[in-house]
Amino acid sequence: MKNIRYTILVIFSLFLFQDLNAQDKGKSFIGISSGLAFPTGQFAKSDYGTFGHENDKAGFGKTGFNITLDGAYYFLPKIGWGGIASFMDHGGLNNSDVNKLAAGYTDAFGVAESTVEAQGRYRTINLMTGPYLSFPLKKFTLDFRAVAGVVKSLSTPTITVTLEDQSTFTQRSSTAAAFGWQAGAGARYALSNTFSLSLRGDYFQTSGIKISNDNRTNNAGRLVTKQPLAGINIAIGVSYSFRNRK
Amino acid sequence: MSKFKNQLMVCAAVLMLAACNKKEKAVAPTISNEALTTVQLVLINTASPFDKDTATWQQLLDVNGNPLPEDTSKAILNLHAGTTYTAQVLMYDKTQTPATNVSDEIKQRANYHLFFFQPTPISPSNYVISTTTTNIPGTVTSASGPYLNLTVNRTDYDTNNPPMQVGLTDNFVTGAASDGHLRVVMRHQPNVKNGTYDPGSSDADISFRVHIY
Repeated sequence: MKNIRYTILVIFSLFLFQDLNAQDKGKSFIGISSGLAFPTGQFAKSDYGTFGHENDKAGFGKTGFNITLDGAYYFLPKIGWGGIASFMDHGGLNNSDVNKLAAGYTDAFGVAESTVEAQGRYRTINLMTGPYLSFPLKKFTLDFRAVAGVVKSLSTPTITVTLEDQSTFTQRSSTAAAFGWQAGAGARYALSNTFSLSLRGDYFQTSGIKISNDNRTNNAGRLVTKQPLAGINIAIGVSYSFRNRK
Repeated sequence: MSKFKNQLMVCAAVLMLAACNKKEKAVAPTISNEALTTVQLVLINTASPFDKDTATWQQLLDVNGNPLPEDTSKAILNLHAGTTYTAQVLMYDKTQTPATNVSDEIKQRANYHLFFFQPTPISPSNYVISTTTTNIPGTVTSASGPYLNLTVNRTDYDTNNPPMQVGLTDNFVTGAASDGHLRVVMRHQPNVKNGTYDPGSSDADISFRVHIY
């Protein structure tokens, strides 16, 4: 692990302190990209847990897609400040998921049967800003970024549970916002002086968005009040680079 | 260029399909349930710990799982007058070998279980329905008596917020010598427990004879 860190540090240093000429300077840019969004961690888990040890963080998130607008202004040759506006979709619960939840609630409340209905998807908009590092290598530019900001939920799955026709409670769709951060790397290949194709990979995370529940009278069974979100985005796109000032 | 357009349209269609908002529904029945065959009331005199009385109600099952007649031969409490007892409700599933202690599971699931204890005959003045009394709504009261001089108070609480009573442990307080019955009901109130009798259904509804002397 130490060796890997050392190697990364050396590579970064070489890039940062290599002899600079005008062509090697990072160009301010804007870009758009789209690709797959893979949930990770608890967000990706499809797990009810067991009686008394319910998993209240499992998100049942699915592989979805992301659309990202980003750009950066380079005030130093390789160092800039940028921003990201992205839309992410991480799917919703499938039939296997609701079966797991229904079995879990049946056991948790000791009822003859429970019915679980789920509708809706995880959809968020992320607005983040932070430093960008770019290392031009002939037609390629390697980008590294670390940004932080707001993760705004547009929707989360609505889950309705009915216990033996006696009681119904609902985990509501959330439109809450939370602090989040994202770090990633990518490469741009210049098609011309201004247009490039881009390939990027990012990891994002937020400690969780608030979830509200209706009609939870008793403290029993899985109860989600905060849903952590995390994932990896892989995307391809195009970017437009501005000309450097002479 | 038109090929590129086609590819874009295919991508857009894939995204739209991926983003569809399908409703999923599942019904999960319970896989197995314990049979509640035996209920015991174990009472210990608070002033004399060796003064212990146990009453047992039992209804076993035949080999086909059908209930046999109730065995109430030991379902009788013999209590001293003017005495306070700590009481414990023990429940077993004797269809299992060895017998399963169901009251341990009730304790784990206390947040949606609630016990009621109804002495009869009871005076209308002692018949108070509230979230802390153990009286059962609909019980016929007697204006003239003689009454069973027994009061039951639950002493244990669940982990709801705010905590509510359960009834697996209780205090039995006897008055003057008298005879009657004690109806014991365990209510199963999944996500509807509010301290009252009405919501939910009864997992057990049995009766003990009570002799206070």
